[in-house]
Amino acid sequence: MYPQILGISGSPIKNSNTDRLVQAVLAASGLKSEFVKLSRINVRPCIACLGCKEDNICKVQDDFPELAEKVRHAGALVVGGYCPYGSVDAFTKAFLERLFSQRHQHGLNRGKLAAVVTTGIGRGAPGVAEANAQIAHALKMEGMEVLGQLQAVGNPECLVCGFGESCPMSALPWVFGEDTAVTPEKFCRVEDQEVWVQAQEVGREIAARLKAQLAM
Amino acid sequence: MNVTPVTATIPANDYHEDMEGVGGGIAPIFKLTTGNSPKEARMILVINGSPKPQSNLQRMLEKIAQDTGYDYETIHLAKLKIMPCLGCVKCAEKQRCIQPDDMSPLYDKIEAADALIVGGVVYFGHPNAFTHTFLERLFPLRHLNPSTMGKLAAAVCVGGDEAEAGVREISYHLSSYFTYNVVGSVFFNSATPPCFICGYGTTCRYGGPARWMTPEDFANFNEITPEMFQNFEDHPEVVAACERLSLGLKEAIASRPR
Repeated sequence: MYPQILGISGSPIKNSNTDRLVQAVLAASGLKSEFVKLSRINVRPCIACLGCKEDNICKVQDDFPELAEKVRHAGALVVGGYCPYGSVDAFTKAFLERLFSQRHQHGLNRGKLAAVVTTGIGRGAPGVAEANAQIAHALKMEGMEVLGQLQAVGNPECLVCGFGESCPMSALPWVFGEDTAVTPEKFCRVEDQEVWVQAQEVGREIAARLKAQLAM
Repeated sequence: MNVTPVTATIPANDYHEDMEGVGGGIAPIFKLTTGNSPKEARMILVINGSPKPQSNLQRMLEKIAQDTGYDYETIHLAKLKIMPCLGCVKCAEKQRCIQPDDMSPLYDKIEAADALIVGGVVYFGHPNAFTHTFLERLFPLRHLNPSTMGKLAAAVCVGGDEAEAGVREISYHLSSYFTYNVVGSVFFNSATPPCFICGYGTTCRYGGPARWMTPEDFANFNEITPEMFQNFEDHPEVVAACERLSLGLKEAIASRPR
């Protein structure tokens, strides 16, 4: 049995804020779900070979063809990414590119429900909104209906690299001003943010919409 | 079809202003001296993010690099296995990535090069994943005393109708996050979607032609002809933009202290 709602995370960080926010939408929906972390499988960029033009099946032999079957059969998709350097991350980007295989002639993902999750260091740093719009745009190109766009504040890597307090390239002065000491309270948790409540609402809305579709 | 091929060279100074309006902008917080070691032979490293052989992008990159007169090496990202950044920050100490893939040998080349030209193709309004993966993996060079500080770079993009956004993004990435001195950029909107070669371009309701054209025009769109395929060489303004960028790079490389 394929999942009714499929959660995808492009965050390579273990049990990250991105992961947990995607999972929160899945859980709130109450639907049969599956969560896929792209950094644990192998989904490479699109090589533009057009091998998918006849049958909508990507011919690149990595982990995408199996994932594509789950996407195709899911009623809803929750796609989460983060925004290194002001744009959506490469794991998520490669996944979005490969959805192209399901578009030709039949537009297999038309009408599919979707939610978008992005995290970034926020607090004045660009990227979270841009990456969010970027994912939403790609999903809409496949004909999906984006029901929710969730944005969360995450943590700069400079908090954990070991040089964040002194490195001249550190993001910490940018985010925290003069106080660059790495202390536990500087780490953000998505559960403490307003977006956590929005995730529950989006999950419930997806479930209601899918149930209404089944009842028709 | 209402998409016409266009191109332009964006002056390097424009990136910061434009991006400030969009995303808040990032300026390097501190100024550091460059960590480059003097090299005898000047050399350009060219990064080709297009997965298509002999693509417009590849030919533009070759022309730009060749016209400088300096030696250059082209890296075809789609032929390599380079994984996205894992965010482990283990590179902070040694300025090298722990992932043992085809990016490993590129760090020395990037540091040794006198200029870096990054070329990408634009999907969904942004540089494609091969290109973006490469840019992410520059992270090891960003810590502490970045070896890319003040080094010369250029951006080149080919896209259907959104190539300009692509060069802005690559230029912003290189200049703001990696403190490159971006000399300039060239983009080419080829208006040549994959739908022209898939065999279903005149009928597929979800392809580029169906989106770009009015319903009436699409209904009358029955044939894809050779002249619909745009080559940058046929657009004098694109060729001229490549030549301007090449000259800009040549002069900037020549005036670099050894």
